[in-house]
Amino acid sequence: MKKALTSGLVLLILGIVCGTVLAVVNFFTAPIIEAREKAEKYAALEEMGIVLADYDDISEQSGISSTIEKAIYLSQNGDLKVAVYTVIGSGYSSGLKMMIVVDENMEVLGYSVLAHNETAGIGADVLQSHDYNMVGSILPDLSQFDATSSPTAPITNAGVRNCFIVAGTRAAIDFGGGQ
Amino acid sequence: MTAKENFFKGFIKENPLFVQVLGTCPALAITKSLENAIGMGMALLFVLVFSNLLVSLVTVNPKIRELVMPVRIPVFIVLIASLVVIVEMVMKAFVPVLFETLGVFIPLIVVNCIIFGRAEAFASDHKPLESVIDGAGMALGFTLAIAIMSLVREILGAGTITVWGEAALDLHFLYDFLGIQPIDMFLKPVGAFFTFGFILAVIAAIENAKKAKLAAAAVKGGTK
Repeated sequence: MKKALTSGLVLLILGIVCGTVLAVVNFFTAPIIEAREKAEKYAALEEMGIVLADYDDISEQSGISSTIEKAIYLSQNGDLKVAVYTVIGSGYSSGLKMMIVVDENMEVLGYSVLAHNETAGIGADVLQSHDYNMVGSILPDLSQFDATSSPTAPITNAGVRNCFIVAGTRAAIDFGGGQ
Repeated sequence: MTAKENFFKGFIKENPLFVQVLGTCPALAITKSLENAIGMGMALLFVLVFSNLLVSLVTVNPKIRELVMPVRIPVFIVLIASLVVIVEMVMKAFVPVLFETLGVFIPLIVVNCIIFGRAEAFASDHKPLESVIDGAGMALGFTLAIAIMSLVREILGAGTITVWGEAALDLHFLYDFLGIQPIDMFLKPVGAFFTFGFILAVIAAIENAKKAKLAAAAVKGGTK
C-alpha cells in the first residue's frame, strides 16, 4: 500500500513539474504561432484583393459549428461588409477545408483550398480548375457546379459544393439573408 | 570507455539505424530530402540528449532511484513525451514549414525505440555527463544515417540536394549530361525500402569481408 502511494506520488510530482515546464514553453511559443497564422491568413485575404486597411473593425469567431471552423468579420462604421469563413465540407470519401470570402451582397469575392485529400494530379488539379470558378457568384446559387465538364468533377464536386453551401448558410445568418 | 569512444560509438560501431536497426519508421518516411533529415535529426538530438540527462539525474541518486525504479517506464515516458511536446511547440513557432513536412513523425518521437532504448539501457545506469555524451553521439549517428539515405533518395529521385529552405543544389545538369531523368521511385516508399535495404547490404558485405580477412589472417597465422 505504502509502495503504491509512493509511486503515485512520484508520478504526480513528475506530472506537475512537466506540466509547469510545458506551460512556460507554451507561454512563449503560443503568441508567435498565433501571430504567424494570423499573418498568413491576412496575406491570403490581401491576395484575394481585400485591403484590410479599408475596414475599421476586424473581429474573429472560432468554433462556430462542426463545419465552420472560424469566421473573420470585416466591418466599416459598425456595418458588416465582408465575412471570411473557414469551412469544412465532406465529400464522397474525404473532407475538404476551404476559406470562402463573401461580401454583404452574398457575392463570393474569393476562395482558396486550405486542405484536401484529393489525389495529386487528378482531383487536386480539379480544385483549381476554371470549372469551379465561383468568384462573382451569388450564394447560395450553385448552378455553376453542374456546368463542369471534368471527368473527375463528381469526386471533388461534393466537397467543394458542401463548403459553399455551409458558407452560404452562415452568410445568410450573418448578413440577414443578403440583398 | 573513454568519453571519445562513448561519443563516436553511435556513428558507426553502434549506429542506431544501420547497425541496431532502430528508428526505421521515421528514417523510411521522412528521408525524401536532406532538409527533412537534418530537421528530424536536430529534433531527435534535443530529445535524446535531454531525455538521457533527465533519466540519469533521476536515477543517479540512490534514494531517488529507489523511488523511481518501480515506476520507471511511465516516468521515462512522461519525461520523453514532455520533451517531444517542447520540440513540437518550438518547431511550430519557428520552423512551421519543416514542422508541417515532418508531420506526424515529430510526435512519434515519443515512441522512438532509440530514445527509450538509450534511457533504459544506458542513461539509467550511467552518470549524467556520460549519458549526455551517449545521447549526443547516438542522435548524431542517427542524423548521419538518415542524411545518407536522404542524399541517395533525393539525388536519384529529384536530382537536387535541399540543404535548408531555398538553399538547394540543382544537379539536373548531370542528368542532362548523361541524357537520363531522375527516378521518381526513389521519392516513394518503395524507394525508401530499396535504399535502406541496399545500404544494409553494403554494410553486411563490408562486415563479411572484414570477417573473411580476419579468418584468413588467423589461418595464415596458424599455418606459420
